[in-house]
Amino acid sequence: MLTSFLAMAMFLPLLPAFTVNLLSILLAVLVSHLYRQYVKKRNWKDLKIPELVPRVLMASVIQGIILSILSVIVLIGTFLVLAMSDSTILDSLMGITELTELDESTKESVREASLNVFTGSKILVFVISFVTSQTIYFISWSAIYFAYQFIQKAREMEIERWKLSASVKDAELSTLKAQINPHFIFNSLNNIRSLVVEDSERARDSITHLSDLLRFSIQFDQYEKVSLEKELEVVEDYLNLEAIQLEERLRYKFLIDQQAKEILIPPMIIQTLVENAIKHSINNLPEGGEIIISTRIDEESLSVYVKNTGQLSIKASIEGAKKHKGIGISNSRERLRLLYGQKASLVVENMNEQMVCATVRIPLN
Amino acid sequence: MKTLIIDDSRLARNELKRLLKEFDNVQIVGEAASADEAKEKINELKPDLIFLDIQMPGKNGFQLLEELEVLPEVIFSTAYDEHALKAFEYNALDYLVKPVQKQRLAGSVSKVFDKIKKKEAEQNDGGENLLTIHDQVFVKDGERCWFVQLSEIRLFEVSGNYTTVYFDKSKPMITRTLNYLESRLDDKTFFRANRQQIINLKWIERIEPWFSGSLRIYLKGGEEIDVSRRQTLKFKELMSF
Repeated sequence: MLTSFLAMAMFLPLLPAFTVNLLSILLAVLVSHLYRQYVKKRNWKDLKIPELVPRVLMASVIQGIILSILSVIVLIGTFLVLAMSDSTILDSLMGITELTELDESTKESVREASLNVFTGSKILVFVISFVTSQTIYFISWSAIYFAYQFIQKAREMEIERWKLSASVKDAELSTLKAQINPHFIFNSLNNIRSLVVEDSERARDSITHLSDLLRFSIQFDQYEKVSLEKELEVVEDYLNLEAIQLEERLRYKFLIDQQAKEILIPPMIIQTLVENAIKHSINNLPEGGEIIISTRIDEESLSVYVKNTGQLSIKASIEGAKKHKGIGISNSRERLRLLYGQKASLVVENMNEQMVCATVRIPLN
Repeated sequence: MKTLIIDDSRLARNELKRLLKEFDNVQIVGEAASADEAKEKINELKPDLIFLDIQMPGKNGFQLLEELEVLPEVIFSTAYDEHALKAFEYNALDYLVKPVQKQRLAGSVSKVFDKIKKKEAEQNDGGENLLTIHDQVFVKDGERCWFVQLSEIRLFEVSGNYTTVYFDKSKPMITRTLNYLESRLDDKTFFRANRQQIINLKWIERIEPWFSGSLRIYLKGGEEIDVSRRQTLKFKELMSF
C-alpha cells in the first residue's frame, strides 16, 4: 500500500493521492472483512489443506478483481473530481503546463500523444499487474488468517485432549471409590460387636474376614489384575460377613474349575457382581436366596457366572435400586473395556423365572 | 418410655437391646425387622419411642414414617448414611451411627425422655384419639423431610388429591385428603373454613366481615382465608362464649 501511495504521489498532488490511497485501503479492509464473514459461515477453517488451498486462491483472485475494479472507480472518480475543479490538472499531469512557448495546437497534439500511450495491450498489462498485486495481498491475508485459525484450533484440540484424559482419570478414581461400600463396613463392625457377646469364636473369624477384605481393597489398586483364586477368596470373605447379617437367608456355593484359578482378572469385578446380587436380590427377599459362582473355560476366554435368586424386573421396580445397580455394573463394564476393548463382556440377564445370571467374559490373552 | 427397636439385622437389634438395658426409663416392648412389621407393632403397641434403622430392605425408614399416622419420638440409627440425614431441614433430629457409642445413646435417650415428659405435662385432655397440637407429623416432599408439630401448622389446603401443609416458610404436600384430616384433627384448634381449607385458630391475626355476612380471616403467615357462609355461622358459634 505504501508503494502504491508513492506511485500515485508521483503523478498526483499530495492530498488527492493520500485520499485515494486511504479509500483503497478502506475498500481492501471492507472486501477482506466480507470475505472473513463468508469463510466463517462456510467453516473453511475445518477444511483440510488440499481442499482449502484452491479455494483460497480462487477467492483471492476474485477479491483481487473486485478490489481492482473498486480502486479504479475511485481513481477515475478522483480524476474527474479534480478535472472538474481544475481543468489544467490533466495538463499538469502530462507535464504540458511546463511546456512554455508552445501554441495551443501543439499542446493539443501532445495531449493526444500522451493519451495514445494507453493502448489496449498496455492497459491489459496494467490491469493484470494491478489485479495480481491485489491478489497477492489477499493471499497473504488468507495465509495469516488461516495460520492463526489453525494454531487456535490445535490449541483447542490440545485442551480437549487434556479434558478427556482428566475425565477418564476421574472415572477410574470413582470406580475405585465405589468398590467398598462404607455402609457395609460399619454394619459388619456393628454385627461383630454383637457377636462378641453371642458367639465370640465367630466374632474372631469375622474380624479376620473383614481385615482380609479391607486389605485387599486397599492394596488392589496397585494391581491391574489378580488371579481368580485371590479374587474369590475376597468374595468368600465378603459372603461370610454378609452371612452374619443375613443369617440363614443367604446360601452360597462356588463351582470353580481348577484350571481357572490361575487366570488373571481385573480385581473387584466378581466382588461387585456378588455385592449387587445381595443388595438387589437376596436382601429384598423375605426368605432369602442362593448365590452360585461358577466358571467355564473355552479356547479363547474365561467366563465367570454369578447366579442368584431373584428377577431383574423386580429389582428395577424397587426405588433407586436400578440406579445404584447401573453404576456398579457400568463401572465394571468400563474397566473391562479399558483393559480388553471389545474382547471382554459383562451381561446381566434373567436365566429363568427364579434366577438372574451375570456373566463376565474375559479373553485368555 | 415404651420403646420399639426397628432394624433388619438381628445382631444389631440385640446389640441395641443390650445397650439399652442400663437405662431404667427405657422399656423395650418389642422389635421389628422390616418396615411392614414395624408399622403393625407401632399401631398395636403404641410405643413412645422408636429406634429406626434408615436402610432396610424393602421399605426404608423414611417410607415407614410417611405411612404412620401417629408418630412416636424417633431416634434414627444408621451405619453410614449422612446424606439421607441431610434431607432434614427443619428440625434438628436425633440419630446414632452404628456401632453405637454409649454416651451418645445416653444423650439421645435423655433428650427424648425430657421431651415426652414435657408433652405429657401439657397434655391435660389425654385419652382422646384425636391429633392434638402436641402431636407431630412426618412430612416428606421430594428430597426434603420435616417433623412438624401440629401447633406450627397454620393451614391445610386441598390441592388435587393431596393436601398442602403451610408451616414456617414451607408448604409441602402430604398424601391425605382434607376430609380425612378434618376427622382426625382436634376441632378446638383446627377449623374447616371452607371446602378447600382448614385453618389453625391459634394463627389468626385478624378477622374482617366480608360479602353477605361471610368472613375473611388473615393468618399470621400472610394467608387470606374466605370463610364460607355456612362455616361463618359455625365459626361465630365457636368464638362466642
